Amino acid sequence: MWFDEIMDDCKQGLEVVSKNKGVFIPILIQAAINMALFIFVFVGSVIFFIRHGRDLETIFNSPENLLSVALPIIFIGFILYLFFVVIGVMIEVGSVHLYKLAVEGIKPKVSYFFDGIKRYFLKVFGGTLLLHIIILILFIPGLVLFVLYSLTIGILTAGWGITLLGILIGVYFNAWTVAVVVDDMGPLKAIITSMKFGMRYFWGLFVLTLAGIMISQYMGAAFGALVNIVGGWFISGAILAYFKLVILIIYKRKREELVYK
Amino acid sequence: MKKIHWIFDYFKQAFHINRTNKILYIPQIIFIAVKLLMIMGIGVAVYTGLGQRDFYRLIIGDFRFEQFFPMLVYGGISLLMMGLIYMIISRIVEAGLYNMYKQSVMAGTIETGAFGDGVRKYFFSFLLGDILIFIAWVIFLPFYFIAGIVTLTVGFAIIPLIINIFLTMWKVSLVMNDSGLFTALGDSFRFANHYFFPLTILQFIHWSFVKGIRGGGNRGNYGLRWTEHVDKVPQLPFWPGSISNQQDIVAIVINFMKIAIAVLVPVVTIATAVAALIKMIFEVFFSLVIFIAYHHRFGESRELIEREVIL
Repeated sequence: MWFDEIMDDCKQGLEVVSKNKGVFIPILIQAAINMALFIFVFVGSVIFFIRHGRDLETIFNSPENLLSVALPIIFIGFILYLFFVVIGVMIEVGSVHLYKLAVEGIKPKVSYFFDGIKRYFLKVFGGTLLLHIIILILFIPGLVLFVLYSLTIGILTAGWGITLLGILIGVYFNAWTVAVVVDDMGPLKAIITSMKFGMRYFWGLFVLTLAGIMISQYMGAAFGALVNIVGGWFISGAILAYFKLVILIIYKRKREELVYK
Repeated sequence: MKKIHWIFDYFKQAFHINRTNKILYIPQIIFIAVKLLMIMGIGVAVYTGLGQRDFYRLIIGDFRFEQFFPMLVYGGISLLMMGLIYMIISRIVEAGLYNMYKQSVMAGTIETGAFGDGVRKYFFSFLLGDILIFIAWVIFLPFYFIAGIVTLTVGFAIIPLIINIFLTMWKVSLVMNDSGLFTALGDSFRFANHYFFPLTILQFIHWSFVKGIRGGGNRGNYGLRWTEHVDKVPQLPFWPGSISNQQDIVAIVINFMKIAIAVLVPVVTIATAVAALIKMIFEVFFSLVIFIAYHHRFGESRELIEREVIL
């Protein structure tokens, strides 16, 4: 029974993380970096508007002045985007490599984390850029459809329709980095394998993705606003890391059916 | 950590009990239907109220507060009565449902009349227990605020969490042991004290689905919340000598409000129904898990339910 298998995988996942708590360290470091950067950008924006708020009218009235402000902002935005993608991909491949070794009974070490980055960074980075380019191309029609969907199904389902969208994306795309690390696949093949994985084991992955989203959101906010602001990143990160490890366990169990059939 | 592993076995067991006892959903579906009727009733009442001459006169200032006061009292009493009826019906459904959970966990099947038996045996205990807990909260409120402020608002979230964890099992204990209210409350506290960590994990998972950010019961109370905003009419400046224009504007605004309510009532009703049905699925599942956890005591029970799952 698929539900029983998923629960056994969750149990195995819990056993693995309780014996190898080090697998969470990269995710916690990433959460700290994200939080620090968010604070930096937020404080920087506030200072900018305090110092130059009155000049904004002059800037927006003159196209030359507007360009001289807009171009640096776009450039800095692009650098920040690249930074977040690079750090995110490094943490992702290093972490998934640690999860894979932990599941195989090997204690995580710092060298294994960097080993994972050396082996799989370019593939996952390429796959991530590919997905982002696809999102960019489909952005305008996607946004129109999303707004229509939100205003109809979203409202009629009290927001559950929008959660369902997030879950469906997770079901079909959550496992592609796992496929890259476990089977050393190229990014395109890994994305297709992830989609096949989602189609074959839809309900199991649906339950896991739903649980991951619900629990990480609730746990981040359950202890009040102060804990949410300071610790929410870490709590959500650790919970999503656990569910990624469980997906890796399921993938390893089912991979022969996916890869060789 | 071993005790936490049992949670996943409880999930498995609850899933299979769910599959074979779909009758568990019937009382809550009926309750949701009653809730939807209440929402539609409030919507129709507001729509009708907007069309009243007295409301129009109140907006344009041709109505004294003393004349409006009886209407206000009548409206307030009606809402209070609806709240009381809602509370009583919800306790009736809960009492019957808990007896059904008990039978499905202990025997695997639910007998005919289980719901009625549950209501007869446990309704008053549930109602009294909830009233006592509410009174205790009211008495405890000043200390709660002080603790919350001293802990920089962290206490505002953590204190209710801890109290709810200790109160998790009182209804379960009352039903499983057919005990009295205070015995059940004591048992709940002892259970939580003994199995605090695994019970906390279980309840956090439970609450993340039931009280989660999307959907959930809070969002289901659309019918009571949006009505707070319905009677806010924009304040119009008074122009001497142009009263007829102001009256026309007020009439147009009231008509728009009536159209908005005519659209909002079905939308809110559907949204409430969907959110309530989704929450119901999670609530039935996790209630079964809590019953199983109480009976099994995270691996320390002498009576283990060995349930062979027919795949």
